[in-house]
Amino acid sequence: MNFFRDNKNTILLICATIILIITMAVSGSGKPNAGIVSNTVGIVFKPLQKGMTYITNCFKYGADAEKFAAENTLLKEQLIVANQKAGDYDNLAAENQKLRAMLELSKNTTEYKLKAAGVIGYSTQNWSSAIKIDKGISDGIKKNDAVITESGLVGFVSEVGRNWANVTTILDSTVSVGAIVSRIDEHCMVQGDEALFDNGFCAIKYLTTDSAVSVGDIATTSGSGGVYPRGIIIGKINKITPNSNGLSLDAVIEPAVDVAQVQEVFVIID
Amino acid sequence: MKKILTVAAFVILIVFQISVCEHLKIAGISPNIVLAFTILISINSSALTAGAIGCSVGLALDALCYGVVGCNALIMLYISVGASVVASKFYSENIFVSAIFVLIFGFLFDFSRAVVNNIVFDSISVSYITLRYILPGCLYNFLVSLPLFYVVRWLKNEYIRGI
Repeated sequence: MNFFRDNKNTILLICATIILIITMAVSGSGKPNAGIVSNTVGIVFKPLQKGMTYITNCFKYGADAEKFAAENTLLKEQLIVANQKAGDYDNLAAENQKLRAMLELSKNTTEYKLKAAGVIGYSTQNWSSAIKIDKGISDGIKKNDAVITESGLVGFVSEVGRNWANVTTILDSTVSVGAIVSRIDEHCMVQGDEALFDNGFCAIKYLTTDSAVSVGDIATTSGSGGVYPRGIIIGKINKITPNSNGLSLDAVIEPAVDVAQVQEVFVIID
Repeated sequence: MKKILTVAAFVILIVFQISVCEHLKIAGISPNIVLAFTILISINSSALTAGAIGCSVGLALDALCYGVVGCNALIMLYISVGASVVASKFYSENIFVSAIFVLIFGFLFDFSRAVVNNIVFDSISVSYITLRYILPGCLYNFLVSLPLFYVVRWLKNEYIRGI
């Protein structure tokens, strides 16, 4: 008994270590949804996070009111142009459908079922990129659902609780996205890169040296891998350099979505 | 009452850390206020109390942020206990000594996390992250711990008056 009394702290430390290692092993076993501890804590903290985010946004928008007014005017102008193009698109779509019908081709459009969600939190590590949203299983969201905005791809749902979810973004160095450079229909891989992370950029690796990729090309998701549907804009290529091995090219891609500023996202639930 | 205040302080700081600190970034570095507060509480507590606090805070962060539940808790447990044990030998109630404890143990915490991430994901460069994020982050935490020192001292004095 004296041994236990004299070494109480050490024994408690060893027990806590063993319990936590077991917890890590269970947690890391790849379950589709968040465990009971994560879920409960997430549910309890969610209203506090939403409140804190609301207060932060009041300060942020108040300070940036003039900037938003100018942005609003610019967006209205762009909307007019977009509406004109939408009109042209309707005409082209109708003509396309008529021609496909003539050639007896099946319909080739993709429609997504989307769930809007607000961003209520961010990663606590400076070298990783993840956001927390205020929707979860009860809203139809599942692990590995793609997350987008009207501009393009944000990332994927990495963990989901009852009414919250964690989204790992494409800037994170652990994320890879199968992509196509639309102009030349060339397949490649877009990856997060810690050296490019500061500027909010990603990397495209292992382009062949005879690749016809050029600055300004748009990369979209290829649909391979089963996580991201095909055709979602990832970003624009803004630099191409030879790889250090000399056998391939690397490119820097500027994502279409500014992850640090995004306030609302859409989860593709179907 | 005082323990409830400490728990409330931690809850508010955790929510603040996750929801607001992203907007306080300087050169891509955000402060880790929860870590600074935990270390400051630990150096003013016994090893057992510090370990319990560190483990609880780490579990809360694990549950709220994506990752393996238990990872932050395990690292925070040892950092808190280590800070408490070292503080029992070297600490004096001085704002800069406290901030240096935050600097050193904060570095150990972030470095440990980076090493674990490297082992699990094998996709990050520990040396680059140490120079680019961890060391500047420690400096930011050092500055953030200066006002937090007075909060912790007030809480500590409240505890003593409560006995």
